[in-house]
Amino acid sequence: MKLTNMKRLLAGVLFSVGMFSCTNLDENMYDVISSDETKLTADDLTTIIAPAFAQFREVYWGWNGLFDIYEESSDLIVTPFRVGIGWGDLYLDMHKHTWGPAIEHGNNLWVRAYAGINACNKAAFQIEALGAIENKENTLAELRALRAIYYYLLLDNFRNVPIVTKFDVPKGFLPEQNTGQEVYNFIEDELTQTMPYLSEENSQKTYGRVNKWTAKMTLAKLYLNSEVYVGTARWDDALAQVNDIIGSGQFTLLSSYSANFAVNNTNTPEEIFSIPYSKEYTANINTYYPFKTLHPLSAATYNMPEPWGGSCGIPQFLDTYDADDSRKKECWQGGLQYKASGEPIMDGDKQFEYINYMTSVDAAEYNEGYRFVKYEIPIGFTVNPDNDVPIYRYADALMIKAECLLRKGQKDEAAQIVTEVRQRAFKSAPAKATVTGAQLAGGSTYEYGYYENGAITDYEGGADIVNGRFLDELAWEFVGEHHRRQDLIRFGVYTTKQWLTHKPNGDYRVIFPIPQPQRETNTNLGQNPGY
Amino acid sequence: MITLALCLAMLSGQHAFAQISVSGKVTSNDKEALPGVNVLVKGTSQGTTTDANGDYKLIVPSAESVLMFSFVGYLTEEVTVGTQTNVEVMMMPDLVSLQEVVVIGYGTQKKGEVTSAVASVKEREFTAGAMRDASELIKGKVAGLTITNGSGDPSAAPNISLRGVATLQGSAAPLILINGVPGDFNTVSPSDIVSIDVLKDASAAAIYGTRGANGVILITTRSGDKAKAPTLTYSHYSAVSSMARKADFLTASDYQKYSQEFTFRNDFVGEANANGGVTDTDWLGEITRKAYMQSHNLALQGGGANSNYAASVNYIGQDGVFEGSYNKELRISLDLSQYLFNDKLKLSANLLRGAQDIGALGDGSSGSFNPLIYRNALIRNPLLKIQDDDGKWIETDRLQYINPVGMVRETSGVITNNWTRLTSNTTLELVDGWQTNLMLATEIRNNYRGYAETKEHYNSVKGPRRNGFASRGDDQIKTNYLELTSKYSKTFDQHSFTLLAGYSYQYNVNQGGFANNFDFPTNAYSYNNLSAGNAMRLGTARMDSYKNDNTLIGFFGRVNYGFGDRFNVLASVRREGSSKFGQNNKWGTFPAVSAGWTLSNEDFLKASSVVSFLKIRAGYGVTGVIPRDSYLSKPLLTYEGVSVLDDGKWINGLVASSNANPDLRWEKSGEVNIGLDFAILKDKISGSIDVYSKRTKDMLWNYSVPQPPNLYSTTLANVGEMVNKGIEVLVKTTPVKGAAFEWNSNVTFSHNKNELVSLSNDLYKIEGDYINEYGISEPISMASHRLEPGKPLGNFWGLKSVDITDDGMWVIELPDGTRQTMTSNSMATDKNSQVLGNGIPKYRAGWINTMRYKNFDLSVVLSGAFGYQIMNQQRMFYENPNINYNVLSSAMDNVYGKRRLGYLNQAFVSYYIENGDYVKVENATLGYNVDVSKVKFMRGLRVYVSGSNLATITGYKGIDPEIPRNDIRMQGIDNRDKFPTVRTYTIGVNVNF
Repeated sequence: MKLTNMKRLLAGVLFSVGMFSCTNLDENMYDVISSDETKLTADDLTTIIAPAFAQFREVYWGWNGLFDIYEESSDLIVTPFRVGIGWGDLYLDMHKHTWGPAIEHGNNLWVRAYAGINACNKAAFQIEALGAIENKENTLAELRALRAIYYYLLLDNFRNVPIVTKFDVPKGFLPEQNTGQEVYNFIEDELTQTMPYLSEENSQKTYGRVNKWTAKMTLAKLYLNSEVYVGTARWDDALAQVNDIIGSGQFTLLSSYSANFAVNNTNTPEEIFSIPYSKEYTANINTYYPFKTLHPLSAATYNMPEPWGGSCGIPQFLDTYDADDSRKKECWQGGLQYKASGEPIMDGDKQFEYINYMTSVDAAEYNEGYRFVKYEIPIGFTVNPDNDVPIYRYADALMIKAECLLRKGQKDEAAQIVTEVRQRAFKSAPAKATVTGAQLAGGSTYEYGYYENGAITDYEGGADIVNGRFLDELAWEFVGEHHRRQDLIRFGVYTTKQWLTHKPNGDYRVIFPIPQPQRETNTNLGQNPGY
Repeated sequence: MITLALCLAMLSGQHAFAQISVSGKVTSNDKEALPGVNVLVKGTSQGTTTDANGDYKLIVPSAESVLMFSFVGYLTEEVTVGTQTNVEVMMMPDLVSLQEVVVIGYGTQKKGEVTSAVASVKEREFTAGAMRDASELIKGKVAGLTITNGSGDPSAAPNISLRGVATLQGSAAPLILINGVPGDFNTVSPSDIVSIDVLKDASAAAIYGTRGANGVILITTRSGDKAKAPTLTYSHYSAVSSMARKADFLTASDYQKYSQEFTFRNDFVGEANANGGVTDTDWLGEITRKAYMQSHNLALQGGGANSNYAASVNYIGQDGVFEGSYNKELRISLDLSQYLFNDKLKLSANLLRGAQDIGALGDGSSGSFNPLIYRNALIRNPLLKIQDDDGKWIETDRLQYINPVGMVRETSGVITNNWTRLTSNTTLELVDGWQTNLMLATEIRNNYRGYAETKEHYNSVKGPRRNGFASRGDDQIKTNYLELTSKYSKTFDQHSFTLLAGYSYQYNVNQGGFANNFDFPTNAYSYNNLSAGNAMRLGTARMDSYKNDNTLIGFFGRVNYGFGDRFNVLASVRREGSSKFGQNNKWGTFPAVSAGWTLSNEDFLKASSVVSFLKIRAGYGVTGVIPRDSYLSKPLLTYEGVSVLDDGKWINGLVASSNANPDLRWEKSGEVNIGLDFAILKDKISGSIDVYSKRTKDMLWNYSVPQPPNLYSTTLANVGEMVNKGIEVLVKTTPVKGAAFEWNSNVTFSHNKNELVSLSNDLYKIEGDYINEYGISEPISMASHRLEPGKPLGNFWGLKSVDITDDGMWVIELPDGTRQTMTSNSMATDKNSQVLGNGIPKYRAGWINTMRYKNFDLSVVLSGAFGYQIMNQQRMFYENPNINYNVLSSAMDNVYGKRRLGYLNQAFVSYYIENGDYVKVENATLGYNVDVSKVKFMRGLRVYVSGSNLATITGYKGIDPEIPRNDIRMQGIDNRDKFPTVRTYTIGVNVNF
């Protein structure tokens, strides 16, 4: 009797166990969501397109990202090997142009830019699936234009990249590589075709988004570098694009140069296209730059966490500034150093000083080189910056116009524009703001040549550079603004001159190798010539 | 009547000769009385058995009579009576007893019937002394089971692997089951364990399906016996530990001496002068100490007519050699069984409760060690003062250069772990031989962490300038188990079989949270009032929480068949599914079969005087490795990092954080095992030999996938293939065996050969077909290893240095044999690199000697590993006199016998790869069994002294060639920040009541 009861009980337990869970292997998702279960509606439009725009932050300020590619491979900024501290050879490769297909900067840009392109394609796919919604055509056009900007970055750096325009590709699909000409045509077509659908507004609403003027700036840059990209100069086409922007009357130069890079630089009249940052909302991507450039002792200047002390300006470049050019002070921190309170910072028994001198990039002392502080570092800075990154600003549009005019022989008209841009930098000596067409067409004042222990040992100079003074003007205005690599290439300096410890290392280095990890995973990708 | 008469006649006849009355007590080696022992006068049928107290009394014919004492599971003892009237015998367990039971998972088997590679270590063979966890009980005793501690952290878990590594990013650790429920070596107190059985090959482990590929370790704990008087055991030990070997960095006087003739670039004198003057500080000495440890263990067991019980309380209090590092553990266990209905039903309940406090020296750390503190103690300027005149910690402006004493003293932190495990078993045996068991168990593990830095901490005054920092964190792991098994055993004629069928269900849910805050108004709150900090208000503090779950379900069956005492076959199959797998591959099947032939029971060997036991075995089985995490097959999305500014407001976006892989499944291993068990010369020499070949397919790897078309840059996929082949030998010998002196000597030996067969398939490829691993931190950041098909895991990859130039630069021999001077670290390209050695030992050996002389016993455990290299990172980073920090004394020596290193950068070259071969005295224990026969209430008393990690014979220049092996793909790295191993001396006592 008792035994039977036990058996019944046991059977009952087993039965109920079997009923509820016998073979159920579903995963319950708690702290994650998956695209299988997440349904987006028309109300989620911003959520859908957000990744496509947010990715630009990673492209720009991701570690070993776009900033470094344009500045550290150039004659303006370097991360030397700091004696006793290190900073690896990766950075020296950028300076010496000795990178190979494994260089992290290259793969980072590729992966990050394509993540942006994927995000554009995916967002477009999701929007198509939403059916009829308001502004559908305009949003799709904007995504295509944004995608074209990512492709423009890839074209500028790798040239021969695959064009992928769809999200729903078959399993195992590997994109085919396109030629530089094809990529160039694609960008031009995409921007031209979407132009009519893009907003002409320049307001809080379009800030951080792609409006018509952003598309026109991208086209202008494409045409400006057309000779480099595809062998055909298109100065008139570039000029036409920037003339539209200037003619729109929506943009003006700020009276203060540094206001463009201030903590509160959101939606100023000089910005055409910017990447918004917020210390609260974009904390995952830090603009690490204050840390990367400043020495730990400078923490006291800003009451900030201890920086790591790596990157600095190349002394030869710092020497080119006019003494009255306020941009030198606005961009660089040098000389004797002070705390936020104004007291001197002591380095042992003497005052700490950044010196515009370098032993060599292979063995730089901790205090060598001026530090790049163009983006305002607020007192009490923690780790997350608020400064937006102006990708295109009005001064850029003006300087493109000036360059086109200069190249077309309208030197004095060019000089007028350059003078206009220079004026806010020479408030203390207004006469010095004026430049002439002849000056602009002359050589560069940059003392090119191999540099060791503060002296140029193999002097080349810049007198032979055609329109060299204009190239100098670009450096003074746009240092640290993803310009220099492109400008040096366009002016034929990138692979021909020596600066600091850099020696020319092959003309083919005007583009980067197709990153090794990409070639390992996509067998359709050939290597760029020379690598 | 006739019989009686004969007997009387015999008795009276014997009386006619010199009859002697002999009595005495028979005890086991652990001093327990042995009832039921057969005592026989040799050559006669005359005899008796011992009573409940182990006492016997017997009349023997003469002084020449030999008494034979025999008992199941023990070696037969023979004693010549001589003039004695009191013959006390201690019986030693029969180590190769074929009756011995081996735990094989969901049941047991007699050792003689085992058909696969199963190693069994019983309590009496465990290593004695200060045991950090159960793994140390069997270290060196199971061929092929690698247990490496390699760290002196009192809270560190050992790395365990069996028969090499067969995965790239799954777990290489065997499945550990404690009384059938998954756990780890730390779950139960070592003193509660009665046996540890290791299922080494797949034919045995396949019954555990997706979790069996790395082998299975089955731990059985004490449970008491029915109808046995209660016994109470108290054990205690005290131990003292110190660093076995210290890294030899320059002292202040060394530095000043060398400064006479060498220009250091680190300018320590200048730094010291600028910071309060030159002194002589032993930084490592300041933060380390002799560490004391004590353990108390109280165990009670016994049983009534229809019940049995066991209970124990175990406490370990242990300091680490680093100041602030400690581990305190309290474990309580209770096991009760009740038999009902004439033993037809057995109900048992087991409760296990553990509580542990670990001193935490870093934020979010899981152990009791902060490598950053140790590193700074090594590299800090020995000329610097510790504190200034105001008592402030002296901090200078060198990068990542922190006063280690300040870091220890201005930190407080504790990690509290609790685990509770409840297990119930209901066993029904309606018919003899048919047993049905329902196991229900639940385990909850909680972890609470608190950590705080004062306003005087480096991170408050310098570094991130947090002005006081605190964090709290908690985790909970909860797992429910249900297992229903039914077993039927039957023997008829020559045939015997056991059938088993079962169902197993396991549901696991993990959750937890984390928060930190900084900028506190006072130090007084420590980590107990997080809201007081300002950082949360300013949006710079962090918080986090998580929750995930997974389910594992299995159906299994097994057949054991035996024919006579000669043939045994075992076949099993498990059908198992896991929620972690992709939609297309939720379920898998894991079959196994093995067979054994006991040759020694065949007629042609039965009579052999040499061979007492001989068996050959062969088996094949399929096992798996399950991925670590949940949701890996899903296309996950995240809101993180995708905020955008939309018309002046920040809006969250949604972005892919993984690619879907609906085909995701287990890693699958197929293993062949062939073995031989033997005993010769009257069991004086016995052992086993196993050879195996394990092929692992569908190995998981995070493949870089082209982006586009993929949304995420990597996909986890089952692609790779790896082979492990090897041989394992166990030899047990008894060179001397007498009543007074006995010596047992056991040797284990294993060899494993690993080969990575493939990394690609049609869909997932790695061009060049290799993976470089980067195991060297900044500022070197060079590749350390290469994984390449056709080659073993653990290959070092880098520049081969062969010489040094006159100005102290490395001379590198390129793969083509030419030599080139190294001018910059950028020389370390794949083109210039080559394989520089391998970090995984090819051979491992253990040698255990136990000796008993009268009441003394001595055991010595030696272990060794051979045929491998170590990347000595301490030398790589600090054997360069030109760096900005303090350096090893050897940095002042000549490189390649020529001159000091002139190369300014730290770099990885083959100069820092060393042979790791070593032999280590793991443990030596000397014990004495005190004669307590006169003490009524005491049954046994043993005192012992023991030493662990006593000596290492090696050519390796680093601290210890036994290195941690946490990272499967970068084995052989001796990390510069490794917690140095310790040497421990223990004194202990065990009392039986």
